[in-house]
Amino acid sequence: MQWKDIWDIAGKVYDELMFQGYAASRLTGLSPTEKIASRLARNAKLYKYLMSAVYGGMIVLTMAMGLLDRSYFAGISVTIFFWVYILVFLSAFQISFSISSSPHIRNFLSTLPLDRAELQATSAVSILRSVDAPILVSLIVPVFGGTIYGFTYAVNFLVASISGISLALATDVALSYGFRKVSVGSKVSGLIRAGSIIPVVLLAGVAYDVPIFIAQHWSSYLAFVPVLNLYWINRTCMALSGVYAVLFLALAVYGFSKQAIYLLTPEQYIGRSFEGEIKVKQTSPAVAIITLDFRQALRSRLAGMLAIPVIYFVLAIITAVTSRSLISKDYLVFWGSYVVPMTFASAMLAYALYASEERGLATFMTLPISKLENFLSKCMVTMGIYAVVGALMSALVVYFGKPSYWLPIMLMEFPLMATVAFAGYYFSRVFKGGGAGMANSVTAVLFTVGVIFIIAIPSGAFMIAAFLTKNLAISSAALPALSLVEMAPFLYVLSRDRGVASRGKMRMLALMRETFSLWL
Amino acid sequence: MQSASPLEVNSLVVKYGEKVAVDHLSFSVKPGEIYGLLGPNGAGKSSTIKAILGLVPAQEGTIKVMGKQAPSKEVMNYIGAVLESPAIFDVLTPLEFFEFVASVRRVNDPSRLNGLVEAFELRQYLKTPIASLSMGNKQKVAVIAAMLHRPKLLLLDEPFNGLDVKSVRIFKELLKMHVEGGGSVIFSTHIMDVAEKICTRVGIINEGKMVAEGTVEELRNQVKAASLEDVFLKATEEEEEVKSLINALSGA
Repeated sequence: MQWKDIWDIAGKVYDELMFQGYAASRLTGLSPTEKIASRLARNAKLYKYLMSAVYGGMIVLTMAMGLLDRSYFAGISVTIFFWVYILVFLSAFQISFSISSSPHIRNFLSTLPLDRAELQATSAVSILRSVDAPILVSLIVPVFGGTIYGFTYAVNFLVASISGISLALATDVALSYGFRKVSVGSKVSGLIRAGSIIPVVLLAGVAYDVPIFIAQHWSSYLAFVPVLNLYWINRTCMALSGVYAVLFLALAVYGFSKQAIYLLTPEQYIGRSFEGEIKVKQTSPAVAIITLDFRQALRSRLAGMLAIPVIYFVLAIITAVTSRSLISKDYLVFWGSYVVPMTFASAMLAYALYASEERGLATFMTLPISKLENFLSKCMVTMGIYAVVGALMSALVVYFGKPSYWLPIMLMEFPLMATVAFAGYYFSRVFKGGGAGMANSVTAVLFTVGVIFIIAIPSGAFMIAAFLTKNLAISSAALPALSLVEMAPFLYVLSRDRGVASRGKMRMLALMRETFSLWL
Repeated sequence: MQSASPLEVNSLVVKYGEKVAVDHLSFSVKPGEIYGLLGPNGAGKSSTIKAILGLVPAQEGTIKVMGKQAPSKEVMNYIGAVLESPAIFDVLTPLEFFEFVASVRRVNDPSRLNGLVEAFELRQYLKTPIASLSMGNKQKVAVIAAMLHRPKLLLLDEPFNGLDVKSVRIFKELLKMHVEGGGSVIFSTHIMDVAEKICTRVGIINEGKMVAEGTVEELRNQVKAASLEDVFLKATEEEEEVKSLINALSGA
């Protein structure tokens, strides 16, 4: 077989991998219309270019900041490492899921007249093509940008990029391996999936803080720590970081070659024996939906989103403890820096819960569950998790001598509830196209923009009121008042769903009755 | 007092953009009846079933299940449905899925579940993720979930897909028992033999329109055909096309 033939076949496999990675989890179980299927396939290919453009821009921005602010100058290599890691990790992450759940690709390849070596080459090329643009951007942008700083910096940036690419690929390979080895239904699987996005969120959270931390806590032993030693631009540290980069690269190449084989290795599932009478754990419909939400979310790629508010809180504590900024900052700065982002992160929980439901949504729709009931269940989960994180944050502010901060922190439950109503409305439109939700990146961006506005309006009003009145208790009233106004149109649309049996004047009564009966 | 008809579809229209999938379709299913919805690929069978379930919007017409306007939450209590591709939550195990369905439908009947699981030989897969089950076993999970609450109306879209011979036989017997117990069934299929054996009545649709309806015997007599397959080909005006294609193939 000619190299060109392998390249062509790898192109087809690459197309399918990208489609599976990007689109398959967004299909609802009904056949999508031709228009939606074509759009999904097109967006699947655009995804890596979009990611490359966004993170390439972040790297350029980072380097520009270094030129403008000399105090920031030394930490650039570490920050470049973080952005490169996130870009390559997220790009390859899609493919990890594809590889772990695409037996039809393996079946297709096995029917072709290819020997083992040709199959592996096809597999490797197809996987590599899925991350080609992110890798190229990760190498070209820092090295070209580095020439402005000088040759030494260009080399240091290159080492940072290679380290970032290698470690990101190695992490993805490890996750892919974990997904294959661990049964989908097991608790360990849930933990792996929930934990899979934690490195990215943590790195994104500390991308700017770590170089500052290193600068503040300069210590010679940090010069030996992989990645952190990119901070020091001297011959010894650069040589050491070069050695680390080579080791990371070897690890990535080894893992990558394994991943190419995974794509070709059949998976065998053996049923577990089940003895005795089958007993069903009967719960109320609401508890059943909440349990389903958690099981679905923990076992899907969106599992990491459940951990985001908690991670954010951990980051807030780290920052507060290390810099003592939590108590020293002005209240409005504290609000904008900690509480609003924490609410935004919590709002993404509803997105994760609704999105993880999509795969079985056709079946879900055939059950006697109204959209309003579904919204109430998502509300309980989202608000419950925020209540825990918010209570911890409240305890922290009380501990730091700012007890008045407590009320508005907890009242942010109302804007959060409005975002869940928005998510319910947004996902209720899933079936409009005949079977596929989240059909393109534009709708996903629109959702995020919608959430930003829904949170920004009441919290902005609160901030203005707090600035004018200097009274947090009075100005806090803006949070529930405006959120309820925001929520009303979404609830109206959801209540018009088929779920409410009664019509006309009795609608509200029927709603209340159904909401109450849901918990019995 | 006469009981409400399990299903009444009147002048149903379903469109995907400009394409008309179902074109003013009307039919009804009587109590204790197995109604077969037959038609070539793309005739509008699945779209009709999806419209009854509210999975695609009906542009025109009315649908009533047990006398109630469909789709609605109340109507879903009467219905059990198996969709063409078993779109079930594939990260759950069958047992978790059954627990979810039983809780939402408020069914507490362990003997029913035990009986169905034994009948379809699904016991060994109860704790296996649905994602890793074969297509046939996924179909069995969907069938059990649909029958768990003894629905008044079973809506089945190509329900025999992927099932082995033994499971098909068991499923057919279950359907007969279901209608003997007062339930009704509407199902779409491409397998004429199955439709011929178990359907009380059949409706043949083509390009979204009903082109023939009646008992298998009535239809055979109407067009003087030996089998339901012949009736189907005549009704969908595909008989001549099939003959010419076979002639072309044999001469090739």
